[in-house]
Amino acid sequence: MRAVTEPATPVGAATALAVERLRVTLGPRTGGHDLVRGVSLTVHRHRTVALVGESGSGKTLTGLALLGLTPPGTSVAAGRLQIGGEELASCSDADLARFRGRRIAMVFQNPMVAMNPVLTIGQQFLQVLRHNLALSRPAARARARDLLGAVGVADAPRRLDQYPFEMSGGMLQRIMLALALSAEPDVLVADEPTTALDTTLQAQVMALLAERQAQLGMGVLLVSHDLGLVAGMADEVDVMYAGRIVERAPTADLFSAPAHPYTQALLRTVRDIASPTTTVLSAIPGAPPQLATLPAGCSFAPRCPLAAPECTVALPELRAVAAGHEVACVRVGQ
Amino acid sequence: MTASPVTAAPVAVRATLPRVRAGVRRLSWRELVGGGGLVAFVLAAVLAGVVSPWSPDALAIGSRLQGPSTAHLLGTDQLGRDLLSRILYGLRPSLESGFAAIALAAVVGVLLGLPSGYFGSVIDSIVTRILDLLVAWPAVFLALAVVLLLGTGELQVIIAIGLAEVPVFSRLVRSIALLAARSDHVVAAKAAGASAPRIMVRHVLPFVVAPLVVQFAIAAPQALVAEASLNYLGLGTHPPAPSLGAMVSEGQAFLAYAAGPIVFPIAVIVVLVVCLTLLADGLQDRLDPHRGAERRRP
Repeated sequence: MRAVTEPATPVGAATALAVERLRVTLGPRTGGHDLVRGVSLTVHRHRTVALVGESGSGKTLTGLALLGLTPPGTSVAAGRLQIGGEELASCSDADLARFRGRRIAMVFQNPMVAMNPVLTIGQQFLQVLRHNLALSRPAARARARDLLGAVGVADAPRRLDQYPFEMSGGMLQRIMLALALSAEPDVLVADEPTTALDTTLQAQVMALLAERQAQLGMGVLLVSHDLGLVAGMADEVDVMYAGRIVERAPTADLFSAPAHPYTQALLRTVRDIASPTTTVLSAIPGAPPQLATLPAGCSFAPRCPLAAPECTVALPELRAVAAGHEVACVRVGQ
Repeated sequence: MTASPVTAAPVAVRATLPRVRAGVRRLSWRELVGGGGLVAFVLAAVLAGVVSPWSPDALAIGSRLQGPSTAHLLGTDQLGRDLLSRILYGLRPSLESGFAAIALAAVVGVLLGLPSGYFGSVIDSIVTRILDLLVAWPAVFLALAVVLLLGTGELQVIIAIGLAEVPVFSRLVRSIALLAARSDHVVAAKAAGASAPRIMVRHVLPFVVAPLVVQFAIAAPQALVAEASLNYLGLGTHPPAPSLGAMVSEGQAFLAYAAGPIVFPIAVIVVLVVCLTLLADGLQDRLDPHRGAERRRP
């Protein structure tokens, strides 16, 4: 899979997505608490950046915020947001509305519920294509057939007249991908795109995603907790904990030399297929912190085996420990 | 495609008939009785000009307050007018106003409830407060207020009843829109670039239709009774135009001499309401997934 995703343009070329100090706040802007606490990331064209972390770390919320789709009761702010080389004035719903579906698209976790159950696949394609690309009805239908063909859906004309419940999850996720890529966006946010699928389908859908990425050149932000998937797919991995990125590294470096204690602990929780089945799986002691009552300093300190007094003084910032490898931990290198 | 137009028609009829028969067999007894009754009443009202033995306004001073006879199947009223003919014609304003009022309530209810549930926040607060205000006001006073402002007449009755039913429809639509607006496929549609009005119409409204049909059927008998009541109070049709409610109030003074002028219109209202209620019940069983599955089984 890596071979297909290898960049056609060198790193540092066209930026597909750049966001700085992204903040998602629950409740009032002052007095509410932050669920995403100043996330900055960049995705280049043809590249895949994976956002990993446990449930509640804010990775999905980060993805949703980039499309202005955060749930009601939350507000989003960012120092800077750039999509497809174009700066956005703010990350308000109104500003993002123009980009959604055209410049930045999203694939959701569960294709069975992310399609409208009362419309046929064709109707849903037609709506999106006619609205986003201003195609005529026959042109949109022809385009929908091509798009379905491109994601390996056989017998596209018949599929277009079917309803979502008439199809399998794997088929629907292919269709979702085709729909998301219909306007050839600069950025694709893939939120756990294969979690609802079984293992063989996972591999197929990810291969398809990589293939389409090679053809269209979009940058992919892959939100996942599946480290195996990430290892095979991503160029760079950003590890999130309690609403912040705590470590960022090229995929190979992250798996071979994880620097942050949280990343190290996270990697230890993955079962090694070669290890004897009697091995007890390691778990990270303690529970993720309550975002309403975060401890001072590093959020991971209460669970961290390396915690020292200086960890609870100030929130550690990301700093480089190797080329392209950044980590937010005061203990690293000590 | 290949069949010639000449042979196409009989083939279509032959194909349709068994399907209709199979469709009728699938109906519950509530739907059959209620729907059949409603169809009969609507036909009677529409064909009143054809099937009525007399003109509804034909006076016959010599034969006032008569009981049923072969000449006057249901007898005559205090002015010697044929009761059957008046009831047939009187069905027209009842059915018209009743259904027009609910249609009005449904349309306004969707227009208010859909954005209210979808957007929430300020829009929702404003709409909900206005509706609370409408509900706090007793329906009869609401009707009186409409009549005071706009005068009496069929249109005013429609507006009055419609206004009283708007909160029910709006709240129903709002509650469904509230859930639908947070569903995954709506978020996905938004992610695909759909605008808010488009999402409301294409992705939320379809989920409102089935409950709306049920609510329409539930509100229909209420609206009919309300229409008859307003006409009974003299706020609806102008005499001598017949209406069921007005017939009851006119016949009241002569109750000591003849029961027919008051009993027959009331009986018609009751049967019509029972039919509509049965139909509503049947539709609810069919369309509301939350209602007793055990009842649906034969």
